[in-house]
Amino acid sequence: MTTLTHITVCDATLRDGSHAYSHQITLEQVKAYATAAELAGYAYLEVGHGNGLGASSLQVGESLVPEGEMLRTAKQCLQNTKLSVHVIPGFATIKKEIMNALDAGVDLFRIGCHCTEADITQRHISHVRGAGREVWGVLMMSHMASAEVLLGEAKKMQSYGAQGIVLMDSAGTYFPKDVTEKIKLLASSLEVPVGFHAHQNLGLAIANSLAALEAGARIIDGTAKGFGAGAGNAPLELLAAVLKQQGYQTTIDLFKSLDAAEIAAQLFAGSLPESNGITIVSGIAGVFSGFSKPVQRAAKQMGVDPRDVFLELGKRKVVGGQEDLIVEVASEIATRKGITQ
Amino acid sequence: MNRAIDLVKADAEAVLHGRIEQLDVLRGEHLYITGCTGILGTWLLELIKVLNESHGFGTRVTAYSRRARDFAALWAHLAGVEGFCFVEGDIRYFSEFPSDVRYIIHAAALTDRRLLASQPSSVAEVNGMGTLRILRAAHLLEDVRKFVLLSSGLVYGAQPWDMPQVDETFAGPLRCNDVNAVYAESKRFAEVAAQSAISESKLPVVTLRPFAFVGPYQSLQLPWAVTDFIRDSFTAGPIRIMGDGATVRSLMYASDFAFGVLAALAKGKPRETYNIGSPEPVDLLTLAKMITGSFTPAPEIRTGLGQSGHDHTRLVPDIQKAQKDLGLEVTVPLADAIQRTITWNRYMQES
Repeated sequence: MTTLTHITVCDATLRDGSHAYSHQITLEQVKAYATAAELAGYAYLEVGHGNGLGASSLQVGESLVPEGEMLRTAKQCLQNTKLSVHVIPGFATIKKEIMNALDAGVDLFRIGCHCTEADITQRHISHVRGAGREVWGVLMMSHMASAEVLLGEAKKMQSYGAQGIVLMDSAGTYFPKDVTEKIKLLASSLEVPVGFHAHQNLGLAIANSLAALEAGARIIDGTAKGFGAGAGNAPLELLAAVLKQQGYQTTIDLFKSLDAAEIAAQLFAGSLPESNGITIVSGIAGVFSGFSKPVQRAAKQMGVDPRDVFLELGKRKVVGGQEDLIVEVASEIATRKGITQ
Repeated sequence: MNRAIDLVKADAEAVLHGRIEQLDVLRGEHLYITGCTGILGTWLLELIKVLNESHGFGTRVTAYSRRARDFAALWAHLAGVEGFCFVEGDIRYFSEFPSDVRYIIHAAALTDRRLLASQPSSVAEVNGMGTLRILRAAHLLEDVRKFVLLSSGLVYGAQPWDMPQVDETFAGPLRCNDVNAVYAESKRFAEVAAQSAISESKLPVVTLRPFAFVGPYQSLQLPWAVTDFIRDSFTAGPIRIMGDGATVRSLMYASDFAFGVLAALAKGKPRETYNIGSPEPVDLLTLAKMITGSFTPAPEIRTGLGQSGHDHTRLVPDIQKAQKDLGLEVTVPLADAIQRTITWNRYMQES
């Protein structure tokens, strides 16, 4: 590289990692990790339930502590690093969850939706802009739509007032060429900065993140030690090193980033994601990484192979929010194979 | 709220000062305004209120809108004016005008770009087919003296960067196979439908192509640069500009805009098309500084936040034709326009 391009690095450890921890992150863990993230110099720290504001529920898992407390605890630890939240309209309402998050001092709201449903984000994005806070649009499960469709949806979000657009590889199914094609089109067509959020199911999180940056992305997500749903995310400590080696400008202190990763390893020991047969098949099937634990539970309950469940969910093009189908699919497979409970 | 209302009244009186006789043909007439609850419609009502109350015009107005009732409840000082009547309805289903109407301003349209993104086919339907419906209803009237169609400066497509101002003869590029062109294309359709009405039934249509405006009654929730900057300044900023701030626009104060529309109704030449807006260019960075300078402490302005390559667009009208035929002028300089808009919003927030 001949020029230094500034990259905004977002730390999703305390949000995406919530999936890997069955949403049982404690306030002590929030405090310890947020302090480390601040020292590491990440631009944003995302905090909350894995599925975002208001998602704590029987269906997708209940958080150990109320999200308001999590947000306020994190906020107290942050000075230069800004506090962000993930928001999925439907889980989060404007009057309750977003208003509470505004009161808690959240700086950035990342309003997400399935990649073909940007229309549902209009009111949430507009409300946050109206409140004078920063707001981005997030297109989840972006492997399920073409580059042209993603551009159309991203333009909607931009029209609503989104000041950044992030593509999520929620299933960890992208290859670098996919990332290049999609990010390149968005980066060359949108006015607002474009970002990428990787998952590690096929072991390509760093490669895909680098492909995104080379295609024009200016925002990149990661988590300490890859602490996130499924096989986890792009490990921030590796991203920090790669960005430095490639000559990108960031606000990260590399050694402090490495320290934050070690702190995360201690805080979440035993729950750090690892690649295994299930996460690999999940990536091949293109199924939301957050389904990993519910699928394993349902497969165990029904006595079936979780990999078969993932493949069937992939055939049905199931997306986040359709968790209730997991048990149904596992049950059907059990019936088909003559397994009795 | 009284201070906000008084501010607007003072501006309406100021813009009409010394120009009353230009509007004399509207005395005693029944005006029909579609889309009366937007910034333009509201200012038209404010100006006509002054004409009636201070200059004895006796002009009656039927104000037609999808949210006329809510509007009348919110702005009682307008709803209570003798001769003003508010009718709620949707132009897609419009059937007929009152028989004594001789002057019509068709301003109803979907303009919110958030709506353009989510419901582009509705935009095409309302702005295109709705206009056709209004034109056909106007054709049924016995004695239409003037029909003013509010089109848009966006019908020109992209103004070349090296063209300082765009005049009414410019035919710029529009990509009709791009959904983002739906608003501009809907306005182009509305214009050609009006030309068809002129051809078929000699309807005396004057077409106006408005550019950008600022002023009281403009919702700060609209995602436009000037409303964004003012709203974000009220919440202490920062102001975020995706490019380097070199994008060029022009802004006309709402009172001048409304006067221009009334002048077109009174003096506009049928079949003619006029640009309406300020010919004074302003880049976004200068505009942002102008706005933040009105706040203490001045909110931070951040530039270069977006992707590169989308920084330099230009949209500034040549208004010589409107100056000559309609007497259109910028009587409120941009700095004053911004200041008065901020003051009005402050009054509203405090009320």
